[in-house]
Amino acid sequence: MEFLDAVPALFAQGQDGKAIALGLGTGLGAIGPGAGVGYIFGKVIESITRQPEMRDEIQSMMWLGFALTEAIVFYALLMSFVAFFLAG
Amino acid sequence: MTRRLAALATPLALALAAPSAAFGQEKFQPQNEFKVEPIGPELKLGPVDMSFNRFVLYLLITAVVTCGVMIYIAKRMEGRPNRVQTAVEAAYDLTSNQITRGNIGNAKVAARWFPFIATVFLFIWFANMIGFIPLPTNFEQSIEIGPVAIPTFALYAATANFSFALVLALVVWFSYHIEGIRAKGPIVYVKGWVPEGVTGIMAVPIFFIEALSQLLRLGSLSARLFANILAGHMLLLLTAGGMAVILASQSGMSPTYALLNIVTIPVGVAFWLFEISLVATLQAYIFAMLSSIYLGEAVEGH
Repeated sequence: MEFLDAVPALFAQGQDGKAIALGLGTGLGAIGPGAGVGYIFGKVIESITRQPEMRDEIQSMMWLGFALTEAIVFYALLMSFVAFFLAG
Repeated sequence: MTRRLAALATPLALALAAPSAAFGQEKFQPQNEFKVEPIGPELKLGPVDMSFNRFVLYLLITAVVTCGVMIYIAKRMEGRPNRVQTAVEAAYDLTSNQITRGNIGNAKVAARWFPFIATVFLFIWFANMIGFIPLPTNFEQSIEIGPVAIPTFALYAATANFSFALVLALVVWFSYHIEGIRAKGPIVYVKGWVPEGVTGIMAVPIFFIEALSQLLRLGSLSARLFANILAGHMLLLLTAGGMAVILASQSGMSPTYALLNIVTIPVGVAFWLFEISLVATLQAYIFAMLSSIYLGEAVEGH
């Protein structure tokens, strides 16, 4: 990844803005999915304690929901890379 | 148990030793882990780069391993299954009953698309798992063991390249649209994007939103797989020594930065275990699951 190549140069030229964009973009993008993943697992624990016989069905849905929510962090990461590379 | 631990620990130790060994070399660039540079001669077919590179190598390994392992196991199916056969049977059950038949209500369509979805699942799974095994594929550096020089061990996954995920997503995208049009005819199919109950003038903006979301599926399906695996590999790269190398490269390669690895390598091992035990399988599962959800939705409508 070229961004690793760019890290020393960023510090040298004082262009900290891009690094801040990358860090903030990913970090802020992780807030929502973090809450979402926690909500999913909390609800799953709740549902399984209520209806233990539904465990398998609930768990397969849990993984789907987990992966869909978690992917949002990576969209934020990708967009942060775009900001990192393409911002003048 | 000891033998299994040794089998697990040996490649891990090799992989973790590799970045630390970089301090001995003059120039080490951790980002080269993700570069796809041609191996051997460059082949250009007009504007299309056809040269053999590391991504193609991983793709070939994945295809050969997927076909080889599955055909080998299928040929020696036994009445009293051993552990591997049980695992493969569980994968068959997962792809056949849970993923395909659970989401595609029409039994005929489910039978038609089960081979495709199972293949996609297994192919992505093998690509992910091979990506977490250190293989001698870093052709820019080499270790000399006696008289032979072998390339440095590297972690690289075919799935960590956007083209892999995009091509698979394109195949899925076109096949579910075509299947939907075949089942219902083009006009009914396109009309079926609008949720039931929406009528009158409101149907027009909702139709455009739905059409946009059909396009966005292409991006989300591919970016989810690719970004997950790439982020996992980057995390492993940084914790397994890349961080120390980057920090050291700013201060004249002072070897004291290698001490940072004492802290980061256990974290890297933990992430490696997390990736192979959960993320690799989960991403393959999600891709196959969403493919069959889209297929089922296209055939049945809302």
